[in-house]
Amino acid sequence: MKDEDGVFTADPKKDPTATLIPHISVQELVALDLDDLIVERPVLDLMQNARSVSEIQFVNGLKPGQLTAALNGEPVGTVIYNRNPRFG
Amino acid sequence: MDDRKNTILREGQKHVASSLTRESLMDRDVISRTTVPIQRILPNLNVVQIGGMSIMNRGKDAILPLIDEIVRNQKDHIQAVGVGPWVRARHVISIGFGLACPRGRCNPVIEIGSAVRLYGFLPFGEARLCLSGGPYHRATFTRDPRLCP
Repeated sequence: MKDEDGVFTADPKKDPTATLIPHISVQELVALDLDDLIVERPVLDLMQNARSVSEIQFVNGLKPGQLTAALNGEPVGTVIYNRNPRFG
Repeated sequence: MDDRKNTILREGQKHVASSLTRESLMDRDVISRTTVPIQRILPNLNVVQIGGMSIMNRGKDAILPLIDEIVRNQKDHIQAVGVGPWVRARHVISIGFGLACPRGRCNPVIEIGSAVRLYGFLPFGEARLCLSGGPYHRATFTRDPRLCP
């Protein structure tokens, strides 16, 4: 739960041209090497080696209903998924 | 391979047959016999992480509606709700101040908070000192290089 709608191409608080990335693999996100990220970079490393967690979703906690939508599996916010999960 | 069955050797002693007996743990075949498929014990669990700077710092205006939504979802979803290490550290610091632990340089309360942030746990000894009654002497902590480097 964050105060932005998800992962953007830049920090939307500083850059008005930043656009939302709704769905991206952790491998692509690492390769993009963005200057600013919504999540600590070690989390991306952990995700690539995680056994059980194959995706994380960022939603806006200031917007009512976003959490519920995410819990119901709806593609709100940004989903970062592991393209090569170690386990299904 | 240990071909003996589980047997009672003598009073109070039991031999447990094991495939690891007289084997090397460097042996891939031996190790492969010990692995089993990973089972997700809570496959439907949703870990809900609440942002510190983004949500918690905004206070009740941001937190209370979120709590309402979490509660509304309880009947349909299993949720483990958490916050990050900074928020946990700050919580510990606020408890310390509430207990009148001393402030200032080499502040043990701040250091305990930092330990929670860095290591994700509250060092038991320090917590016990803090909670055991009244402000403790700064010298207690200056001896500990972890707390006052």
